[in-house]
Amino acid sequence: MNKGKSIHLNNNLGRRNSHLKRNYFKALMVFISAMVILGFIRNPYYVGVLVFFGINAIITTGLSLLMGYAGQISLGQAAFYGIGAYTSGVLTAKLGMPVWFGFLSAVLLTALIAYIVGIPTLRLKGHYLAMATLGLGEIVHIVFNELLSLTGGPSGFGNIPLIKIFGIELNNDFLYYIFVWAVFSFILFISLNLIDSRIGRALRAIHKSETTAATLGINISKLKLQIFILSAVYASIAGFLYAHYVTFLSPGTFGLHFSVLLVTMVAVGGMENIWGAFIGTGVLTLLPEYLRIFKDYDILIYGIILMSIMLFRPEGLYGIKIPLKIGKKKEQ
Amino acid sequence: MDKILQVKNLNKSFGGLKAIDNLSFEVKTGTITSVIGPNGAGKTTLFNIISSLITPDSGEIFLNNKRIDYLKPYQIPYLGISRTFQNLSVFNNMSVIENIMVGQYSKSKAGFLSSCLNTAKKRKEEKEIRDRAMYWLSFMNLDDIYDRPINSISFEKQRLVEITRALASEPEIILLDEPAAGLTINETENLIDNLYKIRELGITILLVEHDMDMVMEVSDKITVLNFGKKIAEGTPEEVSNNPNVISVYLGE
Repeated sequence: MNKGKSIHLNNNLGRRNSHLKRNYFKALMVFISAMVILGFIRNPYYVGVLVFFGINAIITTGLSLLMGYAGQISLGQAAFYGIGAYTSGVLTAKLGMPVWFGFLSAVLLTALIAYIVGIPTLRLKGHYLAMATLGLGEIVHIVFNELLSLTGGPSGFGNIPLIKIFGIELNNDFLYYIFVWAVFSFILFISLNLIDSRIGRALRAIHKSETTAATLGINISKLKLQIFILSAVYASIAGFLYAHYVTFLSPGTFGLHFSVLLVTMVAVGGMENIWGAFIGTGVLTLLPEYLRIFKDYDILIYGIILMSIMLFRPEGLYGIKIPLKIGKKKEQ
Repeated sequence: MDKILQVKNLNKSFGGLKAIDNLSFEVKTGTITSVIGPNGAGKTTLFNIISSLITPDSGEIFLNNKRIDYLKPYQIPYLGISRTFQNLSVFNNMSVIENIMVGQYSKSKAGFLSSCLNTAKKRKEEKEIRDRAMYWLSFMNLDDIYDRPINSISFEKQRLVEITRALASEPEIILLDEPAAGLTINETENLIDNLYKIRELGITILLVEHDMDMVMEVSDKITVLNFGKKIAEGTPEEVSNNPNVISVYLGE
């Protein structure tokens, strides 16, 4: 190597280092932006909508890692969301356990179920995970409906206790908003770290060619299983947050419709990038609220917007270049 | 010289077709050894068996006298074997350097949890991975395009990136499946220089190639296959004067 090359190398390293440091900075920026936005909102209803944006974004971040990076589709994220919500809800409301215990049980139970579903399906090539998780969604839905003594069946159950942190009870939308966005920012931070690691690169390699990835030493089924469990745990955490926010659970929230909506959010935002999932979640969570002004036609317009995005921007909204005329000088 | 790779009595059939027929040969450490033969002679099948992508019907493969033919594909690079593919297989969702960094997967350790939490140990390793990737890119004279997306560089460079990715796992032996396919004469010359450079590092090269001029120029030893059988073996001169080889290549 000559001298010129080693200088080049050093420059490159410096740049990379500052980039790595920026992961927590990005996550922190998301949190600060969320807090700034909160400062402008007076209506608790809108705060509530943004709480759901945060909760959904936790799930779709995991789904983006699974779909966009590892190339696996799950149609059962709503089931994991439901398992998280019901486990913590039942333990705290019906059995009087503390909230932190509910949280830990929810995460561990979800991880275990994801492990059991993932072990046989992720060894196979092709979209077997989609089929298995579709089945899981139905099973979970039936359990929620039929386990009357614990879940209250189709009519659900309430009186789920609120979360207390450092002696502060999260009893209003504003406090809960801060909590949810703090959790989301942490999850975003973890996910960005993962993407910037050898594991993240291995996942993208698997997405392009499983055979080539294997010949480079990547244990494909193990890695796919790990990322699937991670995405399920994210959904479970979101479910926990949902249960202790709404304080009432019924099976309708956790059906196939919601699983498909989550996949749609990731696809609309852009699968190849984790920020795409965030954008897609924002658009699909907030859009129905804005479309209310169209009254009865809101669903129709919602559908037209979705179709247009998929027709004209099949790779998703992330990275779209909005032609800004202001401030752009004409060249030549 | 030591034998780095030994293939003993290898057999593989696909249905009624015998792709590899009782094949035995060995590769000496530090050489460029070529496997040639007409289309369908079983060359790529042989590579796929060595890298454990295909299980042989019978026979044994040894790397440094250690049996490897029962292993899973992802265990192979940890032993010091890496490979490229006949149909260029670079990751086109990544930049050049990221491709090389994937190549170091078997040389790095950071697990799922330490990656998520971005521990100091992981950051240190990540920096090392990047340093090593940059080193290998400089070695192959590709360092000026390190941050380009794979799609934006020429076919020749993509081939070289694939070879660099295989080198990045710091193998003892590298299997190259038709690296000159689709290259111009000048590009092939450049490839040959690179092969010599790789051999100088002490890395053994096992080559499958159709470009006979290149094979005759670079090879220390050539094994000729036809219908899965070894029909000749030896130095380039010996092989090119062998009547069996001439009849296979030129017809009788």
